[in-house]
Amino acid sequence: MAQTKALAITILVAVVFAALGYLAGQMTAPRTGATVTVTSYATVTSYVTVSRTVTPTTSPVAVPEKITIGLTLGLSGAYSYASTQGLRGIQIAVKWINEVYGGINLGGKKVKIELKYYDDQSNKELVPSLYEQLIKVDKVDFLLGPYGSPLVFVAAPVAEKYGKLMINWMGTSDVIHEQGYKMIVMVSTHSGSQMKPAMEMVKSLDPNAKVAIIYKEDEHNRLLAQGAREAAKQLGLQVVFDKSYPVDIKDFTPIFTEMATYKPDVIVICPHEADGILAATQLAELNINAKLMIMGFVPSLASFKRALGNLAEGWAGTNQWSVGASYTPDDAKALGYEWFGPTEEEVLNLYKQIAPPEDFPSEHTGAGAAAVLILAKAIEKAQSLDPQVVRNTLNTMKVMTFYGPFQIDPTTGKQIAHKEILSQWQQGKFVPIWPPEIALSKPVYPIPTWDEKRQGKQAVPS
Amino acid sequence: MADPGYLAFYIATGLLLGTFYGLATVGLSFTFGILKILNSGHGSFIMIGAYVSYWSFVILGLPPLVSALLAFLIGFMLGLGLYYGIVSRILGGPELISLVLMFAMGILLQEFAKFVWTPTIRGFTWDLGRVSLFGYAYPTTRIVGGVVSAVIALGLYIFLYRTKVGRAIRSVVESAEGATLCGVNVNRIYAISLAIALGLTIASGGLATLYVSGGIEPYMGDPYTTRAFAIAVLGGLTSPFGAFIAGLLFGVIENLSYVLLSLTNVANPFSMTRFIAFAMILVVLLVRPQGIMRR
Repeated sequence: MAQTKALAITILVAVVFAALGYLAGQMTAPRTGATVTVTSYATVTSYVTVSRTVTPTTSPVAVPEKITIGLTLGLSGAYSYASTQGLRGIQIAVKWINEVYGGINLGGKKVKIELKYYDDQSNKELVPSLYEQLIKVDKVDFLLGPYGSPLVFVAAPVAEKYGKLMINWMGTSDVIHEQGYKMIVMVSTHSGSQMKPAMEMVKSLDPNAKVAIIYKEDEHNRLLAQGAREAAKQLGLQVVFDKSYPVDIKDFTPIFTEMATYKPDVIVICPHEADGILAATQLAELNINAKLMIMGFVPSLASFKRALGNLAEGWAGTNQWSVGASYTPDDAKALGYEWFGPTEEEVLNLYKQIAPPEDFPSEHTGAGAAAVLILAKAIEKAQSLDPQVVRNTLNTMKVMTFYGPFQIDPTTGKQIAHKEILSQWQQGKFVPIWPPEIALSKPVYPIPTWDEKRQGKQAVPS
Repeated sequence: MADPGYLAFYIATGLLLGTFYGLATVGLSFTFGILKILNSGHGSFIMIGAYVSYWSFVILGLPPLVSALLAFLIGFMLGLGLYYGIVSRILGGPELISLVLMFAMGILLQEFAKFVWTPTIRGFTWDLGRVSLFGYAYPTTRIVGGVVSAVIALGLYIFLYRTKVGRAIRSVVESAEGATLCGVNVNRIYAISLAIALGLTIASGGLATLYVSGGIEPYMGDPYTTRAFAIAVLGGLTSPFGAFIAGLLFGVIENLSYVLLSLTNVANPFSMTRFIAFAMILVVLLVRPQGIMRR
């Protein structure tokens, strides 16, 4: 009897805890399954909520009340930071299109975008069924991919199965687009190409540099390292150390100690957020110096700068985009692209309205926004909601947003125009230093040592 | 590689890391040994400790070694509250109940942390310089952290074997019924034990920031849960002091296996270190299924 009572109480308590945990998750992040119309953050415009049937091939186009874009995001779990930042970008773009641009111009009418998203808990087991839900039950018109290659890998077949167009914004693995999928289109630079500009810069700074490559054992970072390795080989740089670390690493001491024995000039680390910040703090702790330290996107994060303070000086980070490295309508004109979307200033203003004051947009924000903008532009150009027609339109589009140029390989949907930017912490600012056409400062090489930085020395370009 | 300082560095840093592993596991063994509760949300309590350390440093300027005391007190109070609020009602039930309860508690803490502090990754720099030995720089913070962890473990040993309450706790471990017959207030012993266990776990989370001073986030605790379970089994599961010794062993095995694997020119030695560490645990348990410290 006592056991039955205990069992009942425990189940009750567990249910209460689970419910509280669930509620806490929902309060932080946008609600699971919430339909968010980002026309106003104060009031939600009363859109018609009945489902709509589109006959894409008829002319003139059947103009719907709204265009629904669906996706899942890892708003809880391992990808919560990047997903939250990506969602902010997506919301910014939707708000800009709905409020500033007035809506997508379709059949002479301005049609607003409605966003529908679920929290996939960074769990790839959940992603396929949630995308089925978006397509079959919620009947969204278009899809955006989830954050992260492992999740896009399982979302893409669902989109493909139902013939829905999916804009992949941050599943950068090259392999996704090598599966023969027809409906998946990428807006960001693929993992395998992300380190190439960094290696080119190293070659220009120090042709005889010895390079150490350290990378996390996941799909994205393995490809990032492979790209760095291949670029270094092509450029004639010497790779003296090239090893991986486990995904749940908490102490880099063993691998850094071995790496230091090779005395590399340049350390290249391919990480995600938490392990990237950890790597930088532990290099400092162990006092391992190099003439230049480069990482994946992590140095661009506000949290990186906060954690390292002045020790961040000289760190270079490769990025799809970062604040200060935005493209402008003038760049579009000069490079022969059609401009679309908000300027950096507009993006920053919109960001301030939805994010805590201590945060600033990351590359995830830029990529999320670019995905919505590119999709909106493609719908407008296609004058259709037929996924195949919009997909075909994307094949010939040459558009530039604040995030950078957009052009795809028609067969694979791979991004071929967008370029990774290399920025460096110099005198307290994260400044674009490569490629030269977008650089605002010269690279600092060699960077100050850890001891010099502890005494307040900054990376100052000559 | 012939450099003796190189090998010494791996052993010493493994031992220092092991002191943290050990302290982080003591609470797990304590809870299981005394209350027969498997704390499957263990890593989340470590995460809370890391946040206590972070905020104490950022807001109050307290170094992690001082804030570990604050973390202990928070854990102690949380343990008391958890015991009288929930755990006391499920004691004696099937172990699966406590497993589910602590799992839910772990998720609750993660989501609580995400709600209050957002998923933003946080970090801070607390630097006491480095001690140079045989050409290798040992971060002073880790040395001090290792000493503090060892002192806490020693203090726990003295508490268990040299005080009246400690004796009462050990008597409850032997037989709760027997202890009750001898006049021990078992309910209170359970409450104190859970309070100490969570206090030590959250304090160890504070000391974890000596390693992960960058990279503090709501889901950081999960890898520690896996390690702590393995170390607890190695130490004998119900032996808190055994858990500490096993932690030291685990830290050294992890580091030394890296050196060995590097020598064999394995492509990615780091990913193999845990394989080696867990394989060695299997071997040890085949020889001593009761763990290294239990008789």
